[in-house]
Amino acid sequence: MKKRNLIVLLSLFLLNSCIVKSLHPFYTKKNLSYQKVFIGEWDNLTNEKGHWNIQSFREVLLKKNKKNKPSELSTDNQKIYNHHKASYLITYTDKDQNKATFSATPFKIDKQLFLDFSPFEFFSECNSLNLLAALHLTGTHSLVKFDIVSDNSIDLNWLDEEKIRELFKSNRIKIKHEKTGPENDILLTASPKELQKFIKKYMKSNDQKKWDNSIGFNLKRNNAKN
Amino acid sequence: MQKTNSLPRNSSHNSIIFNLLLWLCSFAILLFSFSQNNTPEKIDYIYTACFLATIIIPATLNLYIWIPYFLQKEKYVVFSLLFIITILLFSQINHWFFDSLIDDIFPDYYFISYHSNTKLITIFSIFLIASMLIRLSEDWFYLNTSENEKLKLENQQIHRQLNSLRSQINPHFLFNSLNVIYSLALNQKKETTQAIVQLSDILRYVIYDSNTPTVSLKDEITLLQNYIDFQKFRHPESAQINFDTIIENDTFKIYPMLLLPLVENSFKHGIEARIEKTFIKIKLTNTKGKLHFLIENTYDKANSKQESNHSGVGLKNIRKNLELVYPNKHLFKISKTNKTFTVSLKIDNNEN
Repeated sequence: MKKRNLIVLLSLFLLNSCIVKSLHPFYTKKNLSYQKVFIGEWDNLTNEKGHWNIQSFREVLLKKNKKNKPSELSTDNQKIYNHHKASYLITYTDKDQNKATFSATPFKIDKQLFLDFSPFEFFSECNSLNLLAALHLTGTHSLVKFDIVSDNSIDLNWLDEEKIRELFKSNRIKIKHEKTGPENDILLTASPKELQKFIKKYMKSNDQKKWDNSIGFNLKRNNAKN
Repeated sequence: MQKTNSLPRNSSHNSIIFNLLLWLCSFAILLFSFSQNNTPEKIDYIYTACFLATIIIPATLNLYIWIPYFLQKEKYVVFSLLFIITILLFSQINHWFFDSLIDDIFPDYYFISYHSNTKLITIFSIFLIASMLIRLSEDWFYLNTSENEKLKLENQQIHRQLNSLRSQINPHFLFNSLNVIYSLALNQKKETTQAIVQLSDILRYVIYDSNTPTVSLKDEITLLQNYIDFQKFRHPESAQINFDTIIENDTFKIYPMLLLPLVENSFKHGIEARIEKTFIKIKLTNTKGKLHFLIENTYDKANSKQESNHSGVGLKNIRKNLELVYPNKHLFKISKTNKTFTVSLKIDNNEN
């Protein structure tokens, strides 16, 4: 079990190390855009194979607590409900059957859909995790370009850290950020409003490869599991 | 700026140099601030230049329209309203500019994290107030300099007048003195040499010692005493001449040769052969920083020429002198009866 935890942690670390991370979410309440079509079972067939279970966060919360209305939830759960009511609860299982859950909030900027991705439970299946280690972890947000190709096909593309690193290197960007760790990983500390300003500008940029080199998945609906 | 009630237009104000200096300094300050103490990069220069452009417009509006037309014309309420509206409007324009317009001008640059609306209003307020204070300081500096120049000119004019008045005393006095010596020499009096020495002492004082802004009261008394002794050669022994002094501080400073014309005037008009029992009574008192000079002489109203056109020159000169040297610090009073002519001069050297 311990070996499994380590693998999950490592894979999360590797995943995090090449995507743009932000302390604050990329969305604001004003531009939330919930897409029901995303709910269901999905497989990524390209690159690394994996399975995606997408659920409505609020429905899962009510179901888990065996409640019909959010008002029947406990105060703590009501807070969680209100925070994630427009989000998906995503359970991602990689090719080695390692699982992790994420909260993904869909939002729209200039007709383009995005997901604000953040880890929800690092070790959802394991109760024997090192609590002290868990206390040191802070969930950051990442930006995913969310394209609904059809009802059965969805593309997810993360914003690559290398892209923003290039902007910093060429001194073409002024955005609040911190550099952390021995690799000087970039952690954006700008406000959601500022982050959205950045997304707008980034989407308008002439860079034709703005979503290249990033982590991406082409998901196909798995009708067999539905 | 135009002429106003409060501050005069600064004619030496060079708008180009003033604005060039003001905005170059502002650019340096903003660049340092926006670079967050790092070496400024190209994006910082672009951002600072654009940011400054949005400040220059309201600041210029404030400096060249709001201040001269409203603040300096004491329309404080209108000025305050315009000032606040300008700050709010242009800080919002700045926000709009950096929110959208700048992306069209510099599509390759990402100007994301800079200032909140509150911070923008604060920056605009600071710049408008600072530029206004600099402009008003410049006006004040100009006003102060021109005031000093004006005072210097007035001072020079006063000195020219004083020198002119003093130069009128010398030939007048010399003329009378030479008459005395001539009279003594004509009668082959043995006192002639003594009179010449006394005149020499008087002239030394008049020519050399009195060429300072002030002299001590002691020196002035010596002059008066020499003058009185000298005049005694000229006038009959029957003439009663008294010179009493009550001096508390003989280092008391007075304007030189101030009292001599009064004594000279008394001798000239008070001691006349046709007047019986002639006298001159002089009393000089100095106490508590104040000086009182009182001189009284016999006077024949019917035949007097005292204060006539010719003799009035001396008194007129004294009046002018006093107005220039002791403005609002003296009291000069002339009183006459049928038989006496009195002049009283009070000087208060104490600072109010």
